[in-house]
Amino acid sequence: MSLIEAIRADGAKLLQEGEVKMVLGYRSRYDRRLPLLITQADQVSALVYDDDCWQNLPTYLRKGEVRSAMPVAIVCRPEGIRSLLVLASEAQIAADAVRVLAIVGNEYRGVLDLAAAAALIKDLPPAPVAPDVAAKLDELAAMPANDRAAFWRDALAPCTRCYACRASCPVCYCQNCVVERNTPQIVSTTAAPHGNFAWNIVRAFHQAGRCTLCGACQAACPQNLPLMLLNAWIERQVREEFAFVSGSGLNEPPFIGSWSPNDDDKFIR
Amino acid sequence: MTDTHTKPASSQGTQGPFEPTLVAFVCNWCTYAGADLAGTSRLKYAANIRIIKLPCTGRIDPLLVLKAFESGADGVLVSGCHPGDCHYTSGNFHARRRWAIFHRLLELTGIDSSRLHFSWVSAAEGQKFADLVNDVVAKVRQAGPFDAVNPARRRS
Amino acid sequence: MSRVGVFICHCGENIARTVDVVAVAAAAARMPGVVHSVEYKYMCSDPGQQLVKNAIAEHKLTGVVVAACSPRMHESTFRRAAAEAGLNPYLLEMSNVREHCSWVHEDKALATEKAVDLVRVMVEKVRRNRALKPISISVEPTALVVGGGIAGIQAALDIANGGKKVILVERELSIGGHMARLSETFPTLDCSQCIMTPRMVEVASHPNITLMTWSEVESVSGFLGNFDVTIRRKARYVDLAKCTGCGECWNKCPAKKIPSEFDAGIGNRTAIYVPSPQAVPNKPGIDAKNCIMLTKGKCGACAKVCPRQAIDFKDVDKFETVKVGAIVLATGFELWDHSAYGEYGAGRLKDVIDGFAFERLASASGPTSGQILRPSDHTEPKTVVFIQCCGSRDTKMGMPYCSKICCMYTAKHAMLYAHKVHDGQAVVFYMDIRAAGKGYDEFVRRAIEADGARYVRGRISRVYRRADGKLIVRGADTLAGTPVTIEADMVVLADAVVARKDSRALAQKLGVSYDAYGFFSEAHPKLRPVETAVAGVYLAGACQAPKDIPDAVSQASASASKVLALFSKPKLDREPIIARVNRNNCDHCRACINTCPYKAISDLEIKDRNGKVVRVVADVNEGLCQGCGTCVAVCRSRSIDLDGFTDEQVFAELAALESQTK
Repeated sequence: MSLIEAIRADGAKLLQEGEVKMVLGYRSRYDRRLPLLITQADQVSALVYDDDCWQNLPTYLRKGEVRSAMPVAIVCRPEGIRSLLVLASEAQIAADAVRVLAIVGNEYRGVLDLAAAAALIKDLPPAPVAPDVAAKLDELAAMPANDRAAFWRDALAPCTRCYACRASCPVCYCQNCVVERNTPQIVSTTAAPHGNFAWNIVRAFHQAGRCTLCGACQAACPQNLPLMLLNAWIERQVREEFAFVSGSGLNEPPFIGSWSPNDDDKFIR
Repeated sequence: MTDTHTKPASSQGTQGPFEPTLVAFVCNWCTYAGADLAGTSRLKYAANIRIIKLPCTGRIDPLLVLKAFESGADGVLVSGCHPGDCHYTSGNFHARRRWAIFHRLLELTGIDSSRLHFSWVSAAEGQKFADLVNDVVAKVRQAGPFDAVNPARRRS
Repeated sequence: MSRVGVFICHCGENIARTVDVVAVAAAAARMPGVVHSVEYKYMCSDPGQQLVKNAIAEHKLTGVVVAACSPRMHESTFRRAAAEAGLNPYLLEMSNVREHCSWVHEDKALATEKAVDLVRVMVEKVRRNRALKPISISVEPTALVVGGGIAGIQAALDIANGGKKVILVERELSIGGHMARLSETFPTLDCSQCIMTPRMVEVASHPNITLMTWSEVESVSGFLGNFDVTIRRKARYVDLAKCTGCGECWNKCPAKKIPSEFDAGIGNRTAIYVPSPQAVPNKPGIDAKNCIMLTKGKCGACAKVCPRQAIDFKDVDKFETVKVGAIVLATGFELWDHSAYGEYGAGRLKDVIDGFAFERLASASGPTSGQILRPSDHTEPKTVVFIQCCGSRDTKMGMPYCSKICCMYTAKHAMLYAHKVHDGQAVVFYMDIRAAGKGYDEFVRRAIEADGARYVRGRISRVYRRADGKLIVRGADTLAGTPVTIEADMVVLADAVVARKDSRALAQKLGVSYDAYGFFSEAHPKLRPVETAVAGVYLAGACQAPKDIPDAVSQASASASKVLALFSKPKLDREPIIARVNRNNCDHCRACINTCPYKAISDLEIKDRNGKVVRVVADVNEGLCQGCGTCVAVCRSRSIDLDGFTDEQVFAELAALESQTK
């Protein structure tokens, strides 16, 4: 049985047996892959899975039609499972409200509850950073500060503030985002350099210890901003300096919101 | 491109050397008190600094630092109680972890350690505070005006 | 519309010398929202405060900025004045143009420019201030006193005699502390035990005092009026309820050669022991490290002879949590370990002893029954050299401070020695004689003039032991400018008074700050010398700084009066600087709940009319919140804010600086 056939079979079974009310997977439309929400076992044939399925499906758990159809079964790669664990630790989903149709590489690992999915993650290395991203980060780190500033001015200039990055991110779930606050206005909404800078920096910072490097934000960006540079940079610091990997378990303390007396102190005098 | 950084002509003159603007975010219990001690001890330091007091370093949001750069600071100093001395027991530990990541993020974007400074200054360290301000002002002065090239600066 | 009044203080010349106050007032008058701006010579004086009060009424002010000294100095003064004039005190802010400006800058133009900025920042803040109401909290009228030395005993008795309950925690087997170990006390030479023992007994029998010896503070949570303190009742292996203190056990204990801490190592004790015959409670405990039964599993001699079966080798540490409204720290001091000084024998010379050892030698109830006998061969020393400032005022050793008590106790030691060894000679090496205090200088003069102590101003370069047992003391007489060599039989070092090794750990449990040497910091060096920065925690005795007995007792009584004042009302008004949740905006990510150092934030279920939970949001407990604002900085959606330091206020302060750079 191929990977997708196995997912279809499990999805249908879960729906038939009333184990879940909805299956969240991918469908195909022309050359694009889109999320698919199905509630009937006979709809599973529309499910597809291939390398073009870039959306991180836990993002859709905040949608009203999904929330009202809990429990749901959700197709997830390891990054998706980590996102689910972040959401669970932040009380955004109940651990028993999801079943994971787990995919690791090209291999289907069956239906897992969140605890079992967490156990699966434990043995896997954190999501790899794309080689071109890692190389660019090293290159940036070696540049003089003013050149780095110039790089980011140019890199973020095309941002139109459409917030597709936010909409595609599984852990960007605030109903009222900080960028929408106006008394005071903390982040300028203008698509000008300072506003673009503030927005993208704030968004990246808010994902520290939460981003699972799923890549959905950059894939969703119509302007192809190099958002993964920011995410991967933070992920690198968090992992290397604090040995913390986002979404590592069900009851992990949050990265921001916990501390250790041995935390990095080198930059403080 | 012209330098957007200008100071009132009254004090700086137009041809004078570059005088940076420094915004300091300090906690009420240690560094603010340390700055008070510098005052009562009549220690002298550069007049470029403007202190904004918050109850605890825990309250000092990275977004404040970003906003300070956006609104005209050439350098930012963040300072609070030494580890273990926090009036609120652990506010500075929480803050330290946030800053550890935030300063690295800003470093990647060109706002490096010549402009963004962190320190622990206790209520007893008036001398340290005075020396720190002088040192930070010197470093920021050397780094020059917060470059107009930098996307974090708002341009009018 | 805001109607802000700005009041600029000259502070005599303190501000006006470096800041052009007239120019600042003029600049302030032009700031948006400012309707009134004046300068005045002494704003904190009565007429100065009246100026503020009158303006509040006359100009219908909605906010006030006083540009003067540090808010730590006079914020409460001016807020009180504002309240008296009918303005909510939280609508007044201070710009610190003295400590942060006029005193630290010299260039008048730059200082004036900065002062204008500081005023503008506060004007922008105050325009966004909200009227706040004090929060009323209940007060548990029981005090915890940590440490049962003279300071802790005094504080406990004063509070207990004031009619309030006290829990006195002492880490040793008996209360009494260092004072119980002294032979006589300066400057009266009355016997320490004669004045101390009745107080110790009074503590034990006082109906308002619960005494917990062999106990330590494990953890502290809560806040002013409502502390929850967990106390570790260390395993004593003796049931105090059964024990009568008959002494059978320690007479039978075979482990007899343990150096007695109480006797500063001059005498020995057993493994089951009372520290001294005057101990309170006069009941033993077992030193587990030296007990043969507890280390090797056989012996049990004490248990066999105990007529009351009070001994339990299976005893373990127990934890007890008590609720108290206030805490007095009276944990005292230690003597510095002089073995760091190689030139004084690095702690290896038996006849080089510290002050406490000399006290025990001189004490009638000590191991030598008050005879001065040197430790090595128990002979009477005919020449004793006293070296002051051993560690004190030595920057190299990390103690640049004066230990304060050594000049006096060394003079006392010299006198006691002269009284006991009539043919002996005391030689005192000193740096300076610091004898400020009632009857103190007269006391030192008496040691020199009546009791023949030879005082030599100078430092000792070396002390070593000659083959015949004599200690050779080499140094310099810095007044005569000559080298000095003395053949001594015993040397007494006035070791520096240092903070307890674990004082920092205790301070951290309470959030109390401490200085570079580990002494606890008072809230204000002059005006709040017994309070700490943590509301409800007070200081008594040498845990704050080196102190003699009268000073420790004074401070203890002062702390007790603070505690009694706090307990005089069942409710207490406290600063309303606390966090608030915007429930409509909260996503319940629990970041603030995880972060709060006081566990003051918890889940709040919002229910519909049928009682069904529709949402869960964060909720702040007003009593627990201390207003640090750590929650605000971790809230991604800005759904929690801190009164007094709201985002709106702080970002407005930043914006006020921006307008200056344009």
